Amino acid sequence: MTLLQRQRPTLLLVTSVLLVTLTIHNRVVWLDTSVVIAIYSLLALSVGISYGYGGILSVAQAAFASIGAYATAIVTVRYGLPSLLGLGLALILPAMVAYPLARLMSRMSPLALAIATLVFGQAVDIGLREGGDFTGGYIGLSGVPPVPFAESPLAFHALSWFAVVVVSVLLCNLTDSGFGRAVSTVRADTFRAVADGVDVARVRSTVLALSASVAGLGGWLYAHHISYIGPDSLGPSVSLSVMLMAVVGGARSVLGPILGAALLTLIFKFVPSQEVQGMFYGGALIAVLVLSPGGMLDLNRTLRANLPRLLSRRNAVAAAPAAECMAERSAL
Amino acid sequence: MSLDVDNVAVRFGGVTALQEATLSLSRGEILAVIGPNGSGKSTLFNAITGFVELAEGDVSVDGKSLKGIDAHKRIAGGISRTFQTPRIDPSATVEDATLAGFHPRAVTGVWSALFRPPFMRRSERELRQRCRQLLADLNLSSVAEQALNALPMGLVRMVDIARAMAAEPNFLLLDEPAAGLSRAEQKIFVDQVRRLAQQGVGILLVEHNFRLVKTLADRVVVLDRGKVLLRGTADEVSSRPEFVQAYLGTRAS
Amino acid sequence: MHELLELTMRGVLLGVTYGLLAFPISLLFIATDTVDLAVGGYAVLAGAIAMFGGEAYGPAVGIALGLLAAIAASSIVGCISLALSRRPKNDPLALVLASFGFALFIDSFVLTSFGKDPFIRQPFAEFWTIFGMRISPQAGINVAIGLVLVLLLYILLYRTAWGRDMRASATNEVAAKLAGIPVRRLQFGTFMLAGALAGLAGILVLYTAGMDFASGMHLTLAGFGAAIVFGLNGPLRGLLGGLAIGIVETISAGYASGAIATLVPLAFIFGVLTFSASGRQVATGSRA
Repeated sequence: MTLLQRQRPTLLLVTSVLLVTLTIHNRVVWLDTSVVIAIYSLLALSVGISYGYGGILSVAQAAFASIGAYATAIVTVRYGLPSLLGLGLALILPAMVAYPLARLMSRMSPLALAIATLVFGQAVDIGLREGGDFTGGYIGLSGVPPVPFAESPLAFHALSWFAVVVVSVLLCNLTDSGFGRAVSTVRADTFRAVADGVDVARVRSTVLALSASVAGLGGWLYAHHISYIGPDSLGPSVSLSVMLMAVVGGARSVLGPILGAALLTLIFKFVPSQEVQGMFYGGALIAVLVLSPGGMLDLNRTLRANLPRLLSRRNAVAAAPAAECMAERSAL
Repeated sequence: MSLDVDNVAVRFGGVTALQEATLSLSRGEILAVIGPNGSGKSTLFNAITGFVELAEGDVSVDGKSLKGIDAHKRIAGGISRTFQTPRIDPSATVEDATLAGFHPRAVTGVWSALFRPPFMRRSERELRQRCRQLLADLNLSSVAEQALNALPMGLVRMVDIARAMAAEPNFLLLDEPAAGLSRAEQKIFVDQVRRLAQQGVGILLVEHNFRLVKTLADRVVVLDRGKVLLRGTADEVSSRPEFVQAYLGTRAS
Repeated sequence: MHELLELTMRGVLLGVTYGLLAFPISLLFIATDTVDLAVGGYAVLAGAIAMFGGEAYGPAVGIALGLLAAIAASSIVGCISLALSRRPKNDPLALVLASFGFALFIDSFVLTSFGKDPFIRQPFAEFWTIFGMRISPQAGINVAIGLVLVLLLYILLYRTAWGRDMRASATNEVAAKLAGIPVRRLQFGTFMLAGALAGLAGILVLYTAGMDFASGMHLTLAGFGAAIVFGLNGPLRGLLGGLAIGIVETISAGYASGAIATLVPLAFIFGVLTFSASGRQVATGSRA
């Protein structure tokens, strides 16, 4: 694969961001919305990495983002340390938690791992609420300082989207590599992966750690943008909404979660109040899962891939024995 | 170098799938395992590659026991296998599927994947070249870009074999590789297996097609209901009455 | 010592409700190889409607409405499960995701309809004094209902045709279908039963410790923990698991803090999933 082929999603992304920036560069309200979209894009991407790419359903990605946000808030507000240190912590701490968590559950099915992430998310929620002075307890921490080189709305907008672009570059690289192929195989069929010589536990744990880092990055941006972080800021309902964003946009692609984040953020600007959000997100998630499990981008791609085969009758005849066998096997 | 299975027993709940299984495979040798369905052939493969736990006995390579070594490490260490029904991702292309088999030889660290340092890019280029060569050897080049769910089962099996061969194993375990292959494909398969044996790969072959076994195998082991019934060359074994009884279930007349 | 005994009694009170929640979770897991995370939500929904419906129309009507609401909710998830199982690539995680969404849907619904304050019903003003401990008559009711239900569920599972069909389709779905067992209908029936049991549990919790709009996930996890602690193999084990968790939780609430107490079911689940055989059961998929 050439550089151009591999980084096509990133090029699309950069072009879109440049166009949008040109349009909204002097409108503060839209710059703010754009930053929110960028932050949710990172969280949705973290769902895309763990679930879409790695096949690990983690219902607590917002908890990793929370760790990142609290890490930077605590070091900047309580200890007056620079926000870049907070960035380092926001990238490393969630990964350091995610890796052993996944390793512990590595011999277990995706279902058990999903439950474990739920337990983890709830534990983080409780831990943050009861953290006393350290985490600010129920009240949270306010007064998180702005990032020194990105104090204006336009600068922070640029910074946020720069972060998304960097993640996009790295992810595109990932898909065209030995590790990336191993991840795909692990997601599709664990035994097949073992028979290829893949260390399934290491691969799964690394993928979750990677997704946690990306979530942490989103959390860092969140804290410095809103300048406040509390236990409800990035709680379980955010985990739900970013899962929805990833699933709607297409969890398996690089651009899908970003598209989902943009779409849903814009739509839900019009949802009246905090309280009913859960109903909207929950209902929407169920609707998407039942009606279209691949999400928009995925649906698009699978249609395009299968259309020539559907149109060619010769291939259909030859494909029958193989397809039948495959269907049989997956039914067992 | 040899792969030794010593008095291995495998049990599932109350069922003993394999017992007192002993055999030895040297590099460059082709050993066929035959027997009726349910005689324990796939279990033998699973035991050697570490997919199931041994109730008794031991599997060793060159005298070094494989006990406690995880399945994926055994595979990366030089024992490859195929599956009786190929395990594949139907939407993958032939080239992608075969490339996955190169995993033990690839650069697989996550940092290399993210940042693509020069040594990783060189390795990827080399691997793709070797992959293309492998596909050419197996006459699969023409379908390299096609998705597996568009191919007949015979070709899918060949891809499974290619994937197992990719990591240049010392020992190759083939589980009914010729099932569903056309005559032409069988000929290619036989040539490839012979070539691999000449290059020093030890091949353990489970096969129902006795004609193929006679052509290929140096030695044969017959399994029946989880135990080794007979050993010898193909001719020696096929002339024994127990062999006929095991296969046909009646007295040979 | 006295205090410990009292705490233990209160733990039993709570534990019975967890045990009731354990049954639908384990039954559903055995039948469909997946987990319904909205079970606690059904309980909270029943409790909320019993509370506020009870205020409007009297306690009996409130309870009836609450149970109906819970069954309606679980039937919806049952339909979702049916819809999801029709796809060619049946991903068990899809129902986990969908039920998670539905659980938060219910949370939000209760929050919007009834507000964020906790609610509780305590009709018994007089306490019994047994061995010098003050025990609410509610405790007696909970335990009695718990035991009766375990008995009924046992009879249902092991002495009726429905139960036999259910166990058959759980062991081998394809064979059951071939034998003419209406597997899909059975699975839907399981969801309805789950709603009824969870609803009942919710009403008991309402009368015991009370709840608020966010209790749903806590109850789901407590039920799940109760289900897996002693193995997924029957209603009695779930009840025992529930008692274990309930007692440990109330004792830690008494001697440590409320926060530590809420972590108890989580710790149980984590421990079991990581270390025990029934954890591996969850891992490899129903009774292998």
